[in-house]
Amino acid sequence: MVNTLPDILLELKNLRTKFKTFDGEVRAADGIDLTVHKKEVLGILGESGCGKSVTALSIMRLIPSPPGEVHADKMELNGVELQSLTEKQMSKVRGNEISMIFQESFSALNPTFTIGEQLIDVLMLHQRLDRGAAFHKAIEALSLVQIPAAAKRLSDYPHQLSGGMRQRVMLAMACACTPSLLLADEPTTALDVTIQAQILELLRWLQSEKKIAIMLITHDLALMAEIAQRVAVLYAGVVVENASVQNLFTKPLHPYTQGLLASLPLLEAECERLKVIPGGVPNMLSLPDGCRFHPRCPHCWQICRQEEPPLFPQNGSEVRCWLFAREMK
Amino acid sequence: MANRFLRRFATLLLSLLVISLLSFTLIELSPGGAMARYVENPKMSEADRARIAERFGLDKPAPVRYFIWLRNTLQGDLGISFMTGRPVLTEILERLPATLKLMTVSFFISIIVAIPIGIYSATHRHSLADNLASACSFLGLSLPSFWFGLLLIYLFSIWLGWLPAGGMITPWFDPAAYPLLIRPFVIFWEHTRYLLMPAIVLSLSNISSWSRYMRSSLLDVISQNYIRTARANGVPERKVVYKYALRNALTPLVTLMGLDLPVFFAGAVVTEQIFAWPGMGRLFISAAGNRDYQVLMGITMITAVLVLLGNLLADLLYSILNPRVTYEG
Amino acid sequence: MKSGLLNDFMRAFQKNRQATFAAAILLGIIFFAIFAPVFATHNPTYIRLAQEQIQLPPTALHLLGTDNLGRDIWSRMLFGARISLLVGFLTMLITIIFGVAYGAVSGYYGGKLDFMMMRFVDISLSLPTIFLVIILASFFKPDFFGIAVIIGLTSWMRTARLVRGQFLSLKEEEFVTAARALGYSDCRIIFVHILPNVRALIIVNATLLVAQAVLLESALSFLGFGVQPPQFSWGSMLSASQQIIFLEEAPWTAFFPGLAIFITVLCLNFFGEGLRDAWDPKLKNIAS
Repeated sequence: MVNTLPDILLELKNLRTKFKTFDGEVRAADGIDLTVHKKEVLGILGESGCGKSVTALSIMRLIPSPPGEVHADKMELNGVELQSLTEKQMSKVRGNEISMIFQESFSALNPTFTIGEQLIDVLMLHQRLDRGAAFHKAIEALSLVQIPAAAKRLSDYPHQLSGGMRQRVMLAMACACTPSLLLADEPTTALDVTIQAQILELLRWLQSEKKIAIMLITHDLALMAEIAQRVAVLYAGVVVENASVQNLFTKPLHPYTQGLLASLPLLEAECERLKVIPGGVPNMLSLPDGCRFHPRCPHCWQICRQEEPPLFPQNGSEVRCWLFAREMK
Repeated sequence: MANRFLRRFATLLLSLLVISLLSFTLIELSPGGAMARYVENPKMSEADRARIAERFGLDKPAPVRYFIWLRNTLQGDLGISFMTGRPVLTEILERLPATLKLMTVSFFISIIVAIPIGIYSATHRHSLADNLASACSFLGLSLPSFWFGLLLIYLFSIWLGWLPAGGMITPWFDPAAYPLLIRPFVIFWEHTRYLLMPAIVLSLSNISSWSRYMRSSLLDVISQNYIRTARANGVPERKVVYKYALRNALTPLVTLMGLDLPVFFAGAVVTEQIFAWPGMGRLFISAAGNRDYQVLMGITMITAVLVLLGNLLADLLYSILNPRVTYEG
Repeated sequence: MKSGLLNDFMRAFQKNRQATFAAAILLGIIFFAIFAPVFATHNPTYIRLAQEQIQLPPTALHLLGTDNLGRDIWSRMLFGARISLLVGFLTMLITIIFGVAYGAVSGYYGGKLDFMMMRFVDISLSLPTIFLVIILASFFKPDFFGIAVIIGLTSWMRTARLVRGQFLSLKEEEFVTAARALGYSDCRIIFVHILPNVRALIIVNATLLVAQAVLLESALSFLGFGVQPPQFSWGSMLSASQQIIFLEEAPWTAFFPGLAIFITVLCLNFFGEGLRDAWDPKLKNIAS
């Protein structure tokens, strides 16, 4: 594998994912650039409907077509262009090199097969194990995600497990073959706070001990601060800010990011009303001209209404806002 | 689980009771009632009728007769046929194997044709073959089976002379007349050539509705989250469809098959009549023509028992396919 | 309310060419049935047993030939359409009235009553309808109206279940609670407040019911238990062809009435599906 930048794991350039609907074309991802480095946790932050999950599913090539359509100038994993793979080659990449876990742990596991059947199948597929070896590996994988009495759990059906347990099982299936990248789509949103912390701990452990890079999709800023090294903020199908987690929380650049942070309740802050970003997520069928955020932006000026800004570098971060164009000049 | 089936069994008995009461009442309310056969006969005197009524126990009041009928039925005595003077049960048991043979073969033809068509249509949605299958199923559901049967007879029996127009086997067919080596084939062909047209006619509506149902059920399952999980874990598409999706998609189909059973029996009545198939349906038609109420009651009850047992079987199969049922029970 | 319904109709017509086409053919068939005396070339019941009159192939004189009793098939087709369509329509009315009332009561009141009523539906559904119909028809020897009643009384169960399901969920809606708070009677709530919300479903169901009824009536008449002579429907026109000799000598006797049944049922099904798709485009996307 030829690779000029040895620590780049996934490189995504100008991802455009469209859905044809009755009412028109929805551009769920509209030119997204992302880079994931080896062994890092990249956070993808954004409100629901901004294209976070679509981006992850596009990388997995799991966007149903029709109605979906995915194009990217570049979608390379370890220097391999994913778009050029056949469906058969791609299914070898899935689960083996990239895995994905989902928010809905109840509906994400097949109700008519036991945990064991589902887990053993994945192991046998990717590791060419016989059933017996896969059985032991399955127990190992379940113990790895700290499921007690793993051997017994193998013969359980998903509906017999708690939500946290199911999320662990899903994690075990996804990480059974130690992929280099794990796409985690809101993995803790549906869980209790205590369980959330356990899953978070598990993710951190997978990253540090198993060297699995994680792309964590969430709208939860606290979770992001907890685990991510770098963060990409998504708004209406584009990346509006790329920053290290320190920069993001100490010096947020994009007005949208600033708004998100301002809407966080802080314990030490005096009891004033929480700030809310005015307006709502734009209708993906009719995006505003110019900057997508301008109708809600407190700093909006002429050019914002006319032209979409590119990403401007700023103090090691990148930001898609005309405010920073001046400083560049 | 055991509890669930005990309850189902109790419901079955209750259903049989209600059905028997219903058909008994219907006949009772009809002009002439059980004696309808003799009422219009000008050659019989009032005394003749009274003698017959007494002989068959028809002079007693209706509720009493119902309980007598019920008691006899429980002892396996369904009464005497007016037409032949033989026990109804003997008459039915003579005809039942032919009906079951026709229905079993037709059932398997339906499954073998409908399920693959449904799977293909679902996995190749809006393809030419899918649209064709859709159109054919529409035609199949609108086609009067007796007309379809007559067309087949005209084409294959009268015009081409390939297949016999009716009956179940050639009366003078003697396998011993053929050399031992080809004898099994001769016997097989002898049965097949009589069975082919009736089985196809009887399968038509099943194939039409089951293939459509299979298609939509599979499409429904394929859009589920757990199928996305399987794909995300790198399970190849073939295995996703044939292992993970199929079992989930088959469960509603099994229920439908159970519900379709009465329609299936109704179809058998018409089919047997067209192809002079010496089964229970044909017996029913001639009994109705002769208003032989004991035979009508007997066949209705036997059919009800078979339908209810079929439903019970479908239920059992359903709970095997869907492990969640066992616990909800 | 009214114009919304009409709009939906128009949308169905415009969007779905198949449904439009089907409706046009149906209207044509109904037109011919109504004006049967105008288009008929012969007396449909007039029997001519002379050897040169029976089983004539289609000619200019007898457009579709004559049957085994020398009757003109074209004329019989026209008059047979009246009975077939009338029975189909009457059956649908009876089924809808009974099924909707049953389902509405069961779904609206719920609880024990609903349980008992639905048990009865289950039991009735597990009995092959045709057995009951044939028993009734063989004892009553009914005319076309009787046939409609018999078929109607044995095929209301699915409609009842469908309506009951809708009522079960609709009765939890706010507007029902509001109507109850205003002190309206149950009867008024059921028929004035809830029923209009189910009308699309009922109309689609009704269309498909007509198709089923036409099929069942023709099968019944084919078997000899339907309308009795001198009345006749398309189904009874095929009845004689059960004997191979008649089928062999005069296949057109069986072919044309069967084709008429087939086309009518097909158009009714297309029409019903078209209406369903227009009313519920989501259903089409998800379920098919």
